[in-house]
Amino acid sequence: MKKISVALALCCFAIISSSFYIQGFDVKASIKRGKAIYETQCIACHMAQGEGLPGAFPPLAKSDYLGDKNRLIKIVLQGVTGPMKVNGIEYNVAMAPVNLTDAQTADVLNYVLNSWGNKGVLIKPGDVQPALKAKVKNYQPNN
Amino acid sequence: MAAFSITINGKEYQLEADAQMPLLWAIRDFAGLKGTKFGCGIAQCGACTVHLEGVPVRSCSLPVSAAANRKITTIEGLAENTLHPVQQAWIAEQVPQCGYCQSGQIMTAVALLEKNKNPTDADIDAAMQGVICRCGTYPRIRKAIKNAAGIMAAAK
Repeated sequence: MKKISVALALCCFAIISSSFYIQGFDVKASIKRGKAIYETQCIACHMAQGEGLPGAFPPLAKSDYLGDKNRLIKIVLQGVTGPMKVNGIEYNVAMAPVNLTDAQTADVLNYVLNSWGNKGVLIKPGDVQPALKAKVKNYQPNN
Repeated sequence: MAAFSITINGKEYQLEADAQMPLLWAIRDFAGLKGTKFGCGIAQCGACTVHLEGVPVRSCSLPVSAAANRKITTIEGLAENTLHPVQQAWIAEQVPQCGYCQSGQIMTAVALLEKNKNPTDADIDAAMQGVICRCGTYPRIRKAIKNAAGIMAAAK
């Protein structure tokens, strides 16, 4: 009995202490790396707090355009063009593809999806290649 | 076509243009300020960087409609009689080689120093990385930003 409770306590401890590790992936470290990528690759248009520029570049903060994980990956790596509606406002500016590895793509998206009030899903490096092959609605690449 | 009023370096300009026309066209062709350069045209190189309400933006990709009735500063408007400390440091450190990217570099550096009075190498690299210099003058850019930080601190 004692052995079981010790094991249980150890299990609980392991779960709590690794709450930022999801299936062996360190989310916190990914977000931190993603912030550095964001600040060099994205900030010029999407701005420091993800607010974008009204009338020009859509916001990432509290954006209603972040739901489709595959589309997000495609936008980062293949760019996007054509009209899009974000938080009820129409935008029509082309975004160039960003030259990132699969791991960097996951990192920068994890930063965006977990900053400025966003509470998004986790993206792992392994999600990137399948996403590029996936069919996505309402999406026009810019490459 | 629509009418826009844009304020560049404190001066108001009235222009008739397509709402999607890049701000850079307004700066160079309507206002005649040629210090801001066209580089890549897709917000990837930073040569066209100007300040919109003090924030560095890529004027080649920003529609003029988004800049209307907002304060724009270009390299010509950085300082009036004497040069801005970053410009002084640029000369002191002999930063430019071909010089094509320098107005974008300087505008980005000025915005960095307004936020961070004493940037480390890492801060400079992070803030400046999006502005590309084909001549590879990055070590001198970094030196000049530190020099400018010193000039600005001494002037206080």
